[in-house]
This record gives sequence, C-alpha cells and structure tokens, in this order.
Amino acid sequence: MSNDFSRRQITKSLAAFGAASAFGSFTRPSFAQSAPIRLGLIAPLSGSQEVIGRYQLAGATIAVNQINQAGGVLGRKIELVTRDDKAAPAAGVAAAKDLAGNGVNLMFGVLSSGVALAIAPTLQADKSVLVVSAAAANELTHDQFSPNVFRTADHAYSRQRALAKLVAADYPAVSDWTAINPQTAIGTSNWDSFVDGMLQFYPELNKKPVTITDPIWAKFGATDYKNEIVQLMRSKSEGLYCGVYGGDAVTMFGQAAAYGLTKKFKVLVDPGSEFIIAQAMGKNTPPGLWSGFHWFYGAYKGHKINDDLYETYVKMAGDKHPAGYVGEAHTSVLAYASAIQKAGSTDTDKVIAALEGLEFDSCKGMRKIRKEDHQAICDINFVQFGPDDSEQGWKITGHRVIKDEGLSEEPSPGQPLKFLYNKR
Amino acid sequence: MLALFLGPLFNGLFTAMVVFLFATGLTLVFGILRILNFAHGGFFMIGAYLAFSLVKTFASDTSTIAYILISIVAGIVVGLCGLVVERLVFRPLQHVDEAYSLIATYALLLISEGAVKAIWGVSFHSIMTPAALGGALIAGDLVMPVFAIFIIGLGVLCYSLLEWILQHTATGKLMKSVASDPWMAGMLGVNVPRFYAWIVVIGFFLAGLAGGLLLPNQTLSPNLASVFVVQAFGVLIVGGMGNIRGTFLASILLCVIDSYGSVIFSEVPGVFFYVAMAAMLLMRPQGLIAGARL
Amino acid sequence: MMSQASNSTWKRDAAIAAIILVVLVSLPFVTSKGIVFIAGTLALHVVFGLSWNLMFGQTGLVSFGHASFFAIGGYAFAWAAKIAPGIHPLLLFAGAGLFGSLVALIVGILALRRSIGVYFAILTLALSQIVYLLLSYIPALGREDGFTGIRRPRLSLGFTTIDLASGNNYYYFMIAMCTLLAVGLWWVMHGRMGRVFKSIQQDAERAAFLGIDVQAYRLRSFAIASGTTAIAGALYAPWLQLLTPEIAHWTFSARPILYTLLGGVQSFWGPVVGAVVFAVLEYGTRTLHGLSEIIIGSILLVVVLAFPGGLLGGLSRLRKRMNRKTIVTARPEIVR
Repeated sequence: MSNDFSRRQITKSLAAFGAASAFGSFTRPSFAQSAPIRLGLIAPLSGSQEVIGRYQLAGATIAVNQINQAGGVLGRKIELVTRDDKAAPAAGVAAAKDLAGNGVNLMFGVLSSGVALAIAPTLQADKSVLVVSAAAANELTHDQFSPNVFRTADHAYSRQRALAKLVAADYPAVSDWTAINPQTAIGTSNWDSFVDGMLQFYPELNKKPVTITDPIWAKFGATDYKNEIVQLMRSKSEGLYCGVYGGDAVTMFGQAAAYGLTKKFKVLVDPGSEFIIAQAMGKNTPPGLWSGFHWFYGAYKGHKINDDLYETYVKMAGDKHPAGYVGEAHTSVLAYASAIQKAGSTDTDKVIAALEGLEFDSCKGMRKIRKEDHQAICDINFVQFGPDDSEQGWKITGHRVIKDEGLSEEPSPGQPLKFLYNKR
Repeated sequence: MLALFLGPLFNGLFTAMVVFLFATGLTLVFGILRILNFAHGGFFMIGAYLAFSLVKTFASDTSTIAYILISIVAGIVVGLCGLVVERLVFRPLQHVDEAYSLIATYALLLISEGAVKAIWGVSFHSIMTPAALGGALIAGDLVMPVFAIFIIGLGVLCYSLLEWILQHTATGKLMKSVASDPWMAGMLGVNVPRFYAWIVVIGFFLAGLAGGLLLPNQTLSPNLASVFVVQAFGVLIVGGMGNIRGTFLASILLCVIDSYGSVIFSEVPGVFFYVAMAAMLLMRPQGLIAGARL
Repeated sequence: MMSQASNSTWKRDAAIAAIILVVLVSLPFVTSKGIVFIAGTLALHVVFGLSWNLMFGQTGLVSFGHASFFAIGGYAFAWAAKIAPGIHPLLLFAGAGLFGSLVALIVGILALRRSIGVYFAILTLALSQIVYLLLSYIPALGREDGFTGIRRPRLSLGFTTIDLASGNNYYYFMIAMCTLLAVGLWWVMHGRMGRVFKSIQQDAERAAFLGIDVQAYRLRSFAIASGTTAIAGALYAPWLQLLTPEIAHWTFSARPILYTLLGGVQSFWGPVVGAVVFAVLEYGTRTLHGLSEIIIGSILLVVVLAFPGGLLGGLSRLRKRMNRKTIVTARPEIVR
C-alpha cells in the first residue's frame, strides 16, 4: 500500500511537470541559443500500460534534472515534453506528429512495439528522430528499419538468447524445455529467439543435444489458463519458458498454484516481467523464477550513474525497486545528451550522424549504438526471485549480467532477421 | 485419459460460473430496466479492489469466512454506489430512449477506471486463495482445484437462490410483474421508481460481490473492468434478453464449447466462444429461454 | 412542400459542408502537423460515424460491431496493395469497399431475416470479436503487432501522377475521398431510398404492409454503411502506414455509437458534432496524465444528462423554446 501511495504522489508531481512543460512550449521562443533543448517523451501515460509509462516518465525526468544540474548540454538546459501514446499506434503517431509540429524533433521512449513500428515510417517526412527506450520487436532494426530510429535498449533476439545462455550454463541437467506463450507477435518472436539460443548454447556448453517440446499457446490477456496449465502438467519437459508476461503471468501463476505447476518444473524463466510477478504475488511468488530485466540496479552497485539514478528514484518515488524501464528512459536521454554534445547541434541530420556508432556510459555501463542498424549493444540483466517471510513477501535470490558477446545477430537493416540455429 | 476428455469440461464449467456470477447483476438490471450497463465491469472491478484493500488491512491470513464476509462488504459498498448512480444517472434517463443510457454507462465505465487508478494506482496486485480453498482434488489424472469447485458450487447456489426467489416468493412475482408491465404494476399500487432503485442497488451489489469472490482468480489491474463485459453481454442475450435461467444455461453452453475449442484448435484460443455465440443467435434469435423476463 | 423542405436542407447542408471543407483545407497552412494528423483521422471518424447513423438513425439497425468493417476494409486494402502492387490505388479503395459490402451482405442475409434489435447488435458484436481475434492470430496479417510497411501510393490520373507520399498530398486526398463518401451518404439519406429507410425505422410493420420489402432495404442499409466504413478503413491504412487489430475491437465499435448519440441522432450532422467534440476532448486532455478517463467520462455524463437527445437535439429544443417564448417541458425524443 505504502508503495502505491508514494507512486501516486510522484505521478501527481510528474503530471504537474508535464503540464508545465506543455504550456512552456507555447510561451518560449525556440530559436534563441539559450533556449532549452526540448526532448519529447512518448510513453503510455494512460490506458492498460500506464504502469510502465510512469517508470519511463520517472527515468526521463531524473536524467533531465541531472543533466540540467550539471549545466546542461552545449550550455543549454534540457526541457522534457511528454506525450501519451496510450500504447496504441494511432495515438503514438498523433503524439509524434504533435511533437514534430511543436518543433520537438528529438523523441524517445515508446514501450509498445506496435507504436514504435507505427511511428517509424512517419519520421523521415517530419525530419524527426526517435530513440526507442523499450520496444523490443526485432523488426525495428530489420524489415522495418528506418534511418531515423535508434534503439538504446536490448531487443528480443539478444535478450532471449542471453536467457538461453544463462539456463544452458546454470542448469546442464535440464535438457528438455517447453513453453506457454501468448499467441502474439512478440510472444512468437521471443520464443523463437530463445529456442535459437538454446540450440546454440546448450550443445556448445554441455556437449549434448537439447530437446525443445512444442509450446502451449494461450490467448493474450486471457482470464483463465486452466486448460493450458493442465496441458503443461502432462508435459515431460523439465524447464518451462513462461512466455506470458506481466499481468497475464500473474493470473497464470495464481491459477497454477493449486496444480503444483511451479513444483513440477525444475526451472522457470520469464522473458521480461521484471518485478511485476513478485510484487503482485508476494508470498506466492514462484520460487527460483528467473526474470528478464532491461536494467537491474543491484547488478551495477558502485557504478556512479547507476547509484545516482537509484538513489534519486528512491527519494522521488519512495519505491525501492525501480523497474528497468526507469533505467532505459534515463539511458535514452543520456544518449541524446552525448550525441548533441558531439554534433554541436540539435539538427536532425547531425544528431543522427552523431548517434551512429555512439559509445556512451549509462546506468548499466558502456553501450555502443551500431552504425548499420542503429541497435545498441549492451548488457542483458536477469534476476531470480523467490518467496520470503518478510512483509514484502518476496526476495531477490540472485542476479546475473550477461555481456553481449555473440548474442546479437549481424546487422542487416531492411532484411528480416534470420535465425542461425532455429530453422523453423 | 480422464483429463483429456473431462478436463476441458471442468474448466469450461468453471469459466461459465465466473461469467455467470459476473452477469447476474447485469441480467437483473437489463431484465427489468432495459439498461445495458457498460459500467457493470467497472463496478465489479471496484468491488474487487475494495475486497483487496479489506483483505490487506484486516485479514492478512485469509480464512474462508473472512473472505466471504469481505466480499459481502464490498458488495454492500458497491450497492450504495448503485443507489447514487440510480438517482443521478439512471432515473433522469428513464424516459429517454434506451440507447442514451448506453453513453451514460460508458461514461461511468471511464469514470470508474479513472477512480480506481486515482485510489489504488496502476500496479498489478493479486490475492492468495484462502488456505481452505487452496490445493486440488485428484481423480486419476484429472486435477480439480478446490477453489474452482468452490466457484462452480457458488455459481449453482447463486442461480438456485435467484431462481427460487423469482419463482416462489412474493418479491419474485412482483419483480416479474414489474418487468413485464411497469405501467400496469404502477397502476396497481407498486411504487415503481423505488422498486427500480432497489433493483439497481441489488444489481450493483451482485457486481461488487462477484468482484470480491472472484478476486483470488484474477489479477487486479485497472484493465479488469472490460475483461468480462463482452462475454457477459453475450450470455445475457443468447440466454434470452435478461432472464436468469437463460443466462445460466448460456454461460455453461458457450464456455464449455470455448473450452473444448481452445484445446482442440489451440492456434486460435478464445474464438469459439464468439463462434458459438453467433451460431446460437442465428439458430435461436429469440434466445435460449424465449419470452420470459427474468 | 416536400421538395421545398429538402431544397432548403440541401442549401443549408451545402453551406455547412463548405465551411468545414475550407477549415480542413486551410489547416496545413495555419497549424502544426499534430493538428493536421488529428484532423485527417477525424475526417475518417466522421465517415465512420455517419455511416453508422445511416443504419441507426435512418433504418433503426443497431450494430455493435461496426469497427470490424473498418478493419476489414483496411486489412483488405493493405493486403491487396502488398501482393498486387500494380493495381491502381483507386481500384483498391473501391475493391476494399466492395469487399466490406460483400461481407455485410453475407452476414445480413443470414442474420437480418431472423434477428433484429438487440439480437442483431450482439450478433454483430460477436462477429467483430471473431474478426478481432483472427486478425491478432494470423501471421500473414502481422498478428497483434500489426500489418506494417503500408505505403502511400502514387495516384495516376491519366494526365498527371500525384505522389501521395509527399507533403500533405495524402491528407488532401483523404479529405476529398471523405467528402465524396459523406456526400454519398447524404444523398442516400435524402433520396428515395432514405425515405424508405426512414419509414422502416419509424414503423417496420406498417412499411411492410405498404408493400416495402423491409428485409431487402435493411440489407441495403447495412451493406452501404459497411462498404462506406470499409473504404474509410482502407483510407486509414496508408494514413497511419500500419494497421493493428485494435481497430476491430469493441471499444472502437463504441466510437460511432458515442459520436451519434452525443451529437444527435435525428440530424445528419449529429455524428459530425459528436466526433469533433470527442477529438477536442482527447486533444485537450492529452497532457493531463492519469486524469483523462475521469475528465472525458464526466463530460460525457454531464452532456448526456443535460442533453438527453444529443447536443444538436438539445440545441434545437433550446432554440424552439426561445422562439416560442413559452415554457415547453422537455419532451423525451423516442428514437425507436
């Protein structure tokens, strides 16, 4: 409860901040050298994904404040302009157009892949740049590549292959894997990427073949998983890739408790629900569940950017567990700051040129944006959860940083992603 | 083998009772006031959140009785909301075409979503099943969670109770007579406006109660409001314009078909509910139980 | 009498349309891209609302699944443009509309004979849910991530070729097409067919007694409205350059209903007013994070309580009352 209350407070102050910046955009002259550099955050600030949008807003706000306190960029302050995409493509395009129309050509954020894929083709005509802070669809740096889109976060392919590498190394005895996946594009692409990683890393590390059993498909946003759970209980596999994520995963695990599903499988992994499952389930958190993270603060203690971000967030939100989206939105602002510094300008073409090949430090260490496909090469984080007797009801039982060494594919912008091992 | 054939039946029955418990209040309000209440899901959600807060505050170690009592309290609070809604929204719109109450209830749905976000935030929450209702019964390879059996029993109980009230008590007869001819009932001395107010309160009470009772089965988030509403409209109409027996039968029929459909054609989960619904409406456009109101 | 009345209606409506067109055409010169994008989308929503009201206000048919035809048109256009890029875009738009009408005809032949009223409404809801789910499952249509990479076509008109991808060309093209569709709907409503529709809406039994084939006319109304919406959906595809199953979702089907009831059922302009009010509300609350639902919901509620006949109905009542200078109790408008 306390957690929620404080989060409400932060939203209030952030909403005021957003409103203020919206008004500011009408009153301030935007061409003077001393005028602030305006960055547009596009995030789901209402609707079903608002819970994530708030994290993005917090991370972006912190980054902007930090940069301004340190004197800004090129002697100019940064000003954050926020727009709500409702996690809906049409609203996302309207937001991007609205920003471009108000002279904000540098944008970032975007949680949903659908929104990112909708905004991408409109950017060139509007002479804008989008730095994607979360949307993980592989298509963004492949079939649907746009020269005006960059991604400073990890993508589905590298994340799920990293997860495969982790379990292949840590659980050599578990050689038969299956999954429960949502019948969605990202659900399929996550699973295919994980299988690709398993087929490569498991034989490499353990010198024996791995068995992949056909997954169970579930409806996205389903309210009842009992039929799927019954099918899983009949499976011979020992490792379960729980592809349903977020609120769906909470529903699924809640209903699975009576069946003993979590005891049946030796290893449970989740592509990227971060804290959602543990925070919602408390004492019912599946023991030993590995969850994919955009950024886990605990993995970079001692790294100044990480520690400053963490402390500021805790102070501002009163919440001790910032989700990775906080770090990724923060990172996108840092990427812009460093690119603008390098370019000496906020001009779209110059910023694009500066972002290409940019190496910069972030809350999870150095990242490099590949020149060819605009994908950042960065660490992948995982956290292991378990139930606990504390009031919180859950605890972190382990975490892991997987370096992107041979995880990401070779860049091929404009071409569909080709799986190396998964010949489906 | 048992699980293969009876598993989908059991799970379909469970979903059916979830949808039925959700749809009872909706059926009552539609059957008598002819209002298709979009906001029903919103108040169902408020009931669930209220129950969640009560559990967190008073009963960290949930017993079954506390869980049922808390659900009733949540139902009563939501019922009081219903009183306000009836006075401020439904009554002024009574003499206007039914269609306009649609916008009003849609607006109420938006407001209830906004209110839940403002009060409880947007994070996901969940509640454990009460200890006595945890675990499962096992017959051969068929696993039947106790909570699911409990909900199925509750659905049947709720249906029987409503059916008994409607068919065998004076109140029920009154309800049926007002439903079929409010003007005549008014002439015969029934205070129809007060009666309508009671129906709305009871309908909302049922929404809140269902919200509390189904809490352990669902993830709490502000999206909960629109999760069941389309399915509930489906069983309401396939059942036959708001009569409880029809809603009950339609819930079972559609959910069991969907359950088998989703197992057999696993590439397209969830489609068969609507296929069955469309087929039923084409075959029996008057509904499963035709003619009878309530 | 009759022709005189429709003559004055014609002049008044043409004048209103001309003002709206001037505003829409001048928008790119006076406002930002954001507003132009919203205005373009709004034009499609207006056609969406008008076509729904052809069924509801005119013929008495309630559809809860109108969005599925928007989606069918959009996906049909996108898919055809992808597999047969050589076809003239105008043919593709027309084809998408015909396809939408065809689907509506098949559904209507099956459904309209047997079910009407709420049953028809819920049946269309069920069908739209099936469309929604299938769109989100079919890999060739991009699942719930959507159909990506839809290009704005080049429009060859014989004497010249316009590249719709450049500048505001597509916006103007869309405004022109939406105007055509709206004029078409106006013409249907005010022509002979519209009068037959109206007689069915007012009293289907009597219309049948007078020798009108009620079912055939209902079918026509359904097919025309669905085809028009399908063209609007097809126009939407290159506008957003992406289609997602969300446009078949029931919440999108609720939009034309809200527009119509909010603006007023009786007037041709009702859905237009409703759509504009809604767009203004959404734009106005776009930076009020976390409050938009409560604000939009409350305003809708206040409007519907204050003007139960829709905004235009309320206005005309108000005007009548002022003119007569006598107190007339607000009479409920019974629509069906």
